[in-house]
Amino acid sequence: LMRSNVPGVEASAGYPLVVEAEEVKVEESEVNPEMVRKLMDKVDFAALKGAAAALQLGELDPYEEITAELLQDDECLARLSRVLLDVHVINGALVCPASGRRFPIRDGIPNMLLHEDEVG
Amino acid sequence: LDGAPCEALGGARPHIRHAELVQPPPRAEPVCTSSHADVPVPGLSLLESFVSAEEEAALAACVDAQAWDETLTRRVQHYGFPFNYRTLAVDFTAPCPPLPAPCARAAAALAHVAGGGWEANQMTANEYLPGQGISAHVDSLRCFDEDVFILSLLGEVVMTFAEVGPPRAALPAADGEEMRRHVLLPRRSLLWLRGEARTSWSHAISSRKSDKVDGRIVPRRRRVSLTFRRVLRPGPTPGVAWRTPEVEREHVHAVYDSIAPHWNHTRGRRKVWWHKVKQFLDSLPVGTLLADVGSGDGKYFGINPGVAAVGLDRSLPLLRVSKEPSHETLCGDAVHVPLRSGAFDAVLLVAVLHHLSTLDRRAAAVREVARLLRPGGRAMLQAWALEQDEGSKRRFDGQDQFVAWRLQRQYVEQQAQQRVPQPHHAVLEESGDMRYERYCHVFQEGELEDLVSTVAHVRVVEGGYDKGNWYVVLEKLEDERLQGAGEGMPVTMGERESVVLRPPRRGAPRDEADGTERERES
Repeated sequence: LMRSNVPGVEASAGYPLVVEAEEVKVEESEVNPEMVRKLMDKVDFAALKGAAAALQLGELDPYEEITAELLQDDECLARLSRVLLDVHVINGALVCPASGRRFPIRDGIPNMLLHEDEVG
Repeated sequence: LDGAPCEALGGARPHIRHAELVQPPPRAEPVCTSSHADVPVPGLSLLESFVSAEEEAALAACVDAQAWDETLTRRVQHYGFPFNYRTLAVDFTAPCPPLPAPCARAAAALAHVAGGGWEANQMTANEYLPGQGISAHVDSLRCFDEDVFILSLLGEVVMTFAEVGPPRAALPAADGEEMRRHVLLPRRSLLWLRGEARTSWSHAISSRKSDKVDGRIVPRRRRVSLTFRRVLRPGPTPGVAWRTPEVEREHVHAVYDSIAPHWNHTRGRRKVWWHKVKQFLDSLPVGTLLADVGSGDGKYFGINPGVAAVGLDRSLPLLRVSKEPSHETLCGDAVHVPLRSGAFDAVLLVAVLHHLSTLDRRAAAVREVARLLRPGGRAMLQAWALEQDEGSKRRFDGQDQFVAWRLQRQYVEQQAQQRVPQPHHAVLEESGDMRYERYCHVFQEGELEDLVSTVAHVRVVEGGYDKGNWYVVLEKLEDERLQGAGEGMPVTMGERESVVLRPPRRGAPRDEADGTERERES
C-alpha cells in the first residue's frame, strides 16, 4: 500500500518499495475470509509476492495470481491472511526503487519523513 | 540637483545650466479608439463579425432561456465548471451543466482560432445592463490556461486594459499615472486574450451608462458576453506545500513530540471520540480499508473491527507510545502521503487541518485525501471551529491562534530525567507545570466546504458542527470524464461533436451553418 514520497520520483516508479527485514515477528490471528477477499481487491499481488519473498516467506509460492476461485479456497485465504496481517517487520527498511532512498523501520513503524533538504 | 547623484537618472549626476518651473500638463481624457488595431496590448486580438446576426440571436436566446445566478450585482451563468467568486477558484464540488449546444458549437469554432488542439471546457455568461461593469482583473492563472475568449452579444462596450505590476517604462506615461488602453468591443466580435494580454494586463468595464468613442457618446445597451476558457486540473504544487513552516515545527511537531511520552497519562485510558467521526466509522462495511491520516494516539483504531486501518502521523514519539500490535502505522506527513493512489475505501483527516498554517498546505492535505480514495470512497474531515460552543472554556478571537497546553509537574520531572527534548518556547510555570503553545488555524463556518471545493474529483456529502468542530464528509467522484487526465493536465469534456465550423475570414460574410451536423473541411 505504500509508495515512495521522494520528490521527483513518479508514482509508478516509486512503487513497490523494496522490503529489507532485520527482525520479523509473526502474530497469528483468526482468519476473516470476507476481510481477506476485500483486501485482495486493493492489493497488488505481484508486489505482495515480492515482499513475501524478500522476507523469505514461502506461503505464496504456489500461486501465480489470485483468481476468484482461489478466493473461495480456505487454504489460500489462510495463507494470504498470514502474509497480509500476521507478519510484522519490526526492524528493517523500505527502499525507494527509483532513488535508493532508505526509510528505516524501527519497532514496527516505518519512518517516511523526508529531511528538509530533500524536500523541494 | 546640480552635480548631485540623481536616483531618477540611475545615480548619474546632472549638470544643470538652466531651470524653470513648468506647470504639469492637464490630464488628458482617456482616448478610446474604435479600432483595436490602434491599441498596442501584446497578445490582444479582436475578430469582428465572428458570429452572424442569426447566430447571435440564437446564442442570446439560449442563454436567456436558462436561469441566471443573481449572487453578484450583474447576472451570470456558468457552464462546464462553476467559478466561485468567494474562493476565486473553480468549484469542483458544485454541479454544473455542460455547455448548451449552440454555445458548444461556438466553442468548437474557437478551437480553430486557438489552434493546437485547444478546446474550451468552461463558459461564463455575463449580463451587463447600462451602468453595470466589472472591476479590473486578470482571469485566474491558477484555474484557467493561456487562452481566454470573450464573445460580445447584443451590445457593444468599451473595455479598458491596464498593465499589471510595475510598468516597464522608467518614466510615467504622458497621459496620466498609469498606462491604460481602451478598446471598443463591437457586437458579435470575439476578443482573444493570450500572452501578455492574458497574464500581464488587467481588463475592466466601467460601470457607466455610456462610452466615449472617437469623440462621440455611445449609450450603452444590454450586452451579454460569453467567456470561453479551459480549466486546469489542479495538480500538486511540490516544494511549496511540502516544506514545513517554522511555526509548525516549533508549535506543533515539537510540542507533540515532547508531550507524547505522557500522552496516555494525561488523557487517561478513556477514549474520547468525536461523535460524528465514530458515526462515520460505524457506518463502514466489513473489509473496508481505511487510511487514518493524523492517527495520533490511534484512538480510532478498533472502533469498527471490520475495518482494516493504516495510520499515519507526523509524530514518531506519539506513534511509539500508541502502538498496538494490530495497528499498522507509519510516520509521515499529511501533506505528502506515502500511500498508493485510489487504494482506500475510506480516509480520516481528523484534527489535522487546523495544525496546517497555510492555505496551500491545507489544500494539499485535502488533495492527498482525494488521491488516496477509490471512486465512491468517502472521507471524514474535521477541524477546530472558530465559533465555539457557549459551554466551552475556549474563546477564539482570530483564526490563527496559539493555544496553551500544560503538562503537569510530576510528568515534567520525569521528562527532565528522561531528557526529552523540549521546544524552544516551552515555559516552566511557577506551579511547576510546563506550558506549551500549540499553533492552530481555527476554521470559520463554510471554510471547510470552500477548501474542499477547490479540489477536483470530490463532492461534499454532509457537513456540520460537532462540539466545537466543523466537519465534512466528502466522496470521491466516479466521474469518467475526469479519469485518465494526468497530473496538472487540462481536464477535457469528453467526446467532441463532429460539427466543424469554418472560421470566418475578417470582413467577409460568414458561411452559414445550416444546423445539421455534418463534417466540413477545416
